[in-house]
Amino acid sequence: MNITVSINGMERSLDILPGDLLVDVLRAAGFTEVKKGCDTGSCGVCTVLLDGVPIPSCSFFAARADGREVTTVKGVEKEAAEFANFLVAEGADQCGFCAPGFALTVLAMKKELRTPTDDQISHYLAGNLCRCSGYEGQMRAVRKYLEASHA
Amino acid sequence: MEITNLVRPRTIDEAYRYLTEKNATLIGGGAWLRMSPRKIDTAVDLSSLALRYIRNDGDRIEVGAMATVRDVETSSLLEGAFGPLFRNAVGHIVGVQMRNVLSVGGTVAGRYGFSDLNTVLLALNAHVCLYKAGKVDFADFLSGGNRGPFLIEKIVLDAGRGAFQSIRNTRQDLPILNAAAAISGGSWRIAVGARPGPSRLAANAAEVLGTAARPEAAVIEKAAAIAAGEISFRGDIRATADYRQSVCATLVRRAITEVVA
Repeated sequence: MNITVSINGMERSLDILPGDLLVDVLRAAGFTEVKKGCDTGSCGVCTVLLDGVPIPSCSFFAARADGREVTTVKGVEKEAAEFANFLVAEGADQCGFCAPGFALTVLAMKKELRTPTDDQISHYLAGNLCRCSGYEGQMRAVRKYLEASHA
Repeated sequence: MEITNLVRPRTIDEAYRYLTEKNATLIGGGAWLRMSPRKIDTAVDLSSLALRYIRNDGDRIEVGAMATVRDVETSSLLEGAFGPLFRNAVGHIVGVQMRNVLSVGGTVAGRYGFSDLNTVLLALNAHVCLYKAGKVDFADFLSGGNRGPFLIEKIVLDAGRGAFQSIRNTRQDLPILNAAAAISGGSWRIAVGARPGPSRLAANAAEVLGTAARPEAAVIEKAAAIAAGEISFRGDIRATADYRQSVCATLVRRAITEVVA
């Protein structure tokens, strides 16, 4: 079957199988910045924005993206890089595998929650696992990034 | 997961015909279904049927089958009617991303033993509206009373007050056990889930509480102990049956106490 998806602002026509998952379709189309991790929707590394909302692309049938807007981390490269600077400054980025999905979730949270508390931040980001750095550095980075964004 | 044909009907009747005439499989959120090793001949994507809503209908609230779990978590309508009950109940489910995908209809239809949402819906005496089959009591639905193909249109909630409790190995893990207590229609209802089977009512415990809006602590304690005795438990990878039984009374007591507070 054929679907038409806007990926990072560019309309793409893609031939897919009915059971294909979005993560596999995106990677096959060259969007390898979308990482594949647990493959059960639990780790968050495959996060993309669908119409601006974060979803686990490993748990979403690609057919459902037909006619919709998908954003990978490359579609928000400038904003993601700004956030990444805070991650680096806090020593919160090591192997980097979780970073694309993590950055997209942080950007979605920033739009959804104006001035989140630490509990709200932790709750919103609970679906993004990091096996290198722990979460304290990430929390510091997120806090400082939000403070700087709202300054 | 292999799907040979995927169809996207525009009307609920069309979807129902695929279900009944072609033995098709309905896709709610699809996140659990995609982990199945099944081969599906015809899959029906329900996302074009305008079933994603949470709305008032007189004194009731209707939750469309394709409302996401995140919709439930962030609904100001549900928050206004039930306080933080739904937010507390579904906020533990994996992460925001997954809750943006999981559908209410899929969660209910799956009768998943690990479901937090189903425990709350059972305690609130919700009704499941099935296309062409009408309203079904949630307890009957969970116990499998309606065999054969069915298509959930919406869940209907009457006014009520409730509280949810659970115990987990980690905050976002599946529950070891969950419980919800509610006053609905003037009477108490207590539901226990993740036993690890689907949620069940503790009817004898609710009877002890009767219609008292503020039962005394000793009565609450007694009801909690009765609930732990009347519900059946099994062991699995997360806990033994004995462990579940031993924490059940505590969860039920906390849930009742929260409703009373």
